Amino acid sequence: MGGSGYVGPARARVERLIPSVLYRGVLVLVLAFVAAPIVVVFLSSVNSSQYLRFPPEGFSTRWWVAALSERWMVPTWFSLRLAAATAITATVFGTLAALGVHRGRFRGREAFLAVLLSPLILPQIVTGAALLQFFKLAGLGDVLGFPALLMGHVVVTLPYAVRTVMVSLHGFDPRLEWAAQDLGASPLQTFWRVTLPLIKNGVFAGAVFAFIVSFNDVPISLFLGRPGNVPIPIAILGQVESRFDPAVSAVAVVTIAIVLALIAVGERFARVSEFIYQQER
Amino acid sequence: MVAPDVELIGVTKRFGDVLAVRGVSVAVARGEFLTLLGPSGCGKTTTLNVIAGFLRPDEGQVLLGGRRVEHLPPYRRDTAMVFQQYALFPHMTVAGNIAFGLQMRKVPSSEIGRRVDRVLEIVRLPGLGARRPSQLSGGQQQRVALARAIVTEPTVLLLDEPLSNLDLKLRESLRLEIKRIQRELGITAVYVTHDQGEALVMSDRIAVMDQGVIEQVGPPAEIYEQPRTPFVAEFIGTSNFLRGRLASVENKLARVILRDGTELWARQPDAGQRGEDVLLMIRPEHLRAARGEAHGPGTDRNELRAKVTDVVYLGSYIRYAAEVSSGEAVTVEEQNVPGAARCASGELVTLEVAPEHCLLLWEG
Repeated sequence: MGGSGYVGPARARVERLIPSVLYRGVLVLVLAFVAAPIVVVFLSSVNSSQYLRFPPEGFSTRWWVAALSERWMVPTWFSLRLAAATAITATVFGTLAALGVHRGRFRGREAFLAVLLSPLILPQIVTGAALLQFFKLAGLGDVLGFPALLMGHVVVTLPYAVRTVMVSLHGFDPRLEWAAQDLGASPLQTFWRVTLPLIKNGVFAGAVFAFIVSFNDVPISLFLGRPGNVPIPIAILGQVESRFDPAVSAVAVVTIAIVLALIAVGERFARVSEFIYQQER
Repeated sequence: MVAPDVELIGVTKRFGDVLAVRGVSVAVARGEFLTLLGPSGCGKTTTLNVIAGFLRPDEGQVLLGGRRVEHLPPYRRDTAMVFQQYALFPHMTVAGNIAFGLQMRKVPSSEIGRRVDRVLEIVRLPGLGARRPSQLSGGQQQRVALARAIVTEPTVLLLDEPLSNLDLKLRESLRLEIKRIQRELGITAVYVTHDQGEALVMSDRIAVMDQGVIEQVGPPAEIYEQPRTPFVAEFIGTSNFLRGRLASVENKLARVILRDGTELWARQPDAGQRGEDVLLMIRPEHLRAARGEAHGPGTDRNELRAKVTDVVYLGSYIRYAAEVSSGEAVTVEEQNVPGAARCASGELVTLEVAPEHCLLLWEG
């Protein structure tokens, strides 16, 4: 027992320091692990070699010229349009669904919410295959391509919009809506002037998540595209399956840049990260 | 005859199995300040929300200016509410909050600016229009809420415990200010509170509510001096109750015999007799503690023998707790006359009270 209760100042400092050093070390390793592939991809995109080599052998911009050609820009543009349409659709329906679930005191409210959120739990590849079967069985083979992709992507991104809007609604005082109506605002005016401005961060965050999930999606897109009508991840997959092309690295850098830029914008205007780190209170 | 600005006829509201308001009927005349007073859960706020249109009554009629409005949503009713938690729009400035109701009424923007400035002067917040509600103190926020409600010049102003989140000093000054503004604008007001002091100071009439029912409606003095039920007597001010039996009524005075045989004379009740078992209500300030049996009772003065159990010094007055000969505990409050002899704890005294200060009540 003797003296074990006493910790000298020097030893105490070391004891405080060790966890701190350990913590920082682990953190640096984790971040490096996340960032390393991006660095490798970028380096290989400016590599002069035909093959994916690390470290790179010489500098060249020819893969970037190839990446910015029609072959890659068409699916990139297709993905941007698809992600934008998905984000808008999922956000509109997600916001309405969240409002309904938040306020509604109807039977089956919990079940309704569970169904809305279920695409988060189901393996997306199952959802994709099921949607393809559904379109075929329903005789809707024609919608494959953009319309089918949009529907599929809305299904899997809706949960994000519903969740983020519900988080904002949680801190929303319903008496503000009473006050607005009491002052003469119709329900629609109340929504535009009071409710939406106060939940806009959640709505915006939902749109950003929906956009990114749609833009990065593979499993749904794999089933619902049609030749010439595929989003960029599927185009990349198609190329890499047969033969590696360093232009793919350049394309990958472009897609990463788009997503990062969107997150930066989202962070600037709506503190999107709060919806990732903060639990529903 | 002008129709009252607000009239409720037999309004009943249920929440599931709970009857929040049952058969409430009350009318508020133009320019009148009516307070719904009662403990929490008595149905006063529910009644206010029925008038505003946030809740639909299950039974009964709601009339505003003589027109039935049960089917109208809040935004089609000419009422304006001041909420307990202010409910100011956090994403708008003070001026934006006040302008909201005017914008909804499509008032031209040049006029909106003028009216916002004027109402800010009325609530004594000139020049604060550009601030956000979060930058204001609680008292200032409540003034903004009041300004937002009165700027549209509603026929009826509804106030739901608007002062209960403020500290005592502020509450007392805002009471008078709300009353001043209401009187100056000649606006009809329905005010909800559980604070009897607020109700007495501000109201033209008070409606005391309990368990969804209005127990009594009347001017503050009538409510205080002539409560009609034990609940009203208990809720407004402090009351002593003595159980007794109504023996006879002679010369407009009622003779009541307490449990130990003590005889007391009481004011004859307005309403007809409702049985022999009565409660005698006496306000503490109407009892006087005298040492010994100085006079002897009569029809002009009642005497109760009592033992002082506690003496509390409260500065401007002295409060005695005593046990009367029939076994009931009473409170006596006397003006504090410095230097005058006081009763001591344990002392036997005679409590004197004039018959006009003894009120007959029936339970239930």
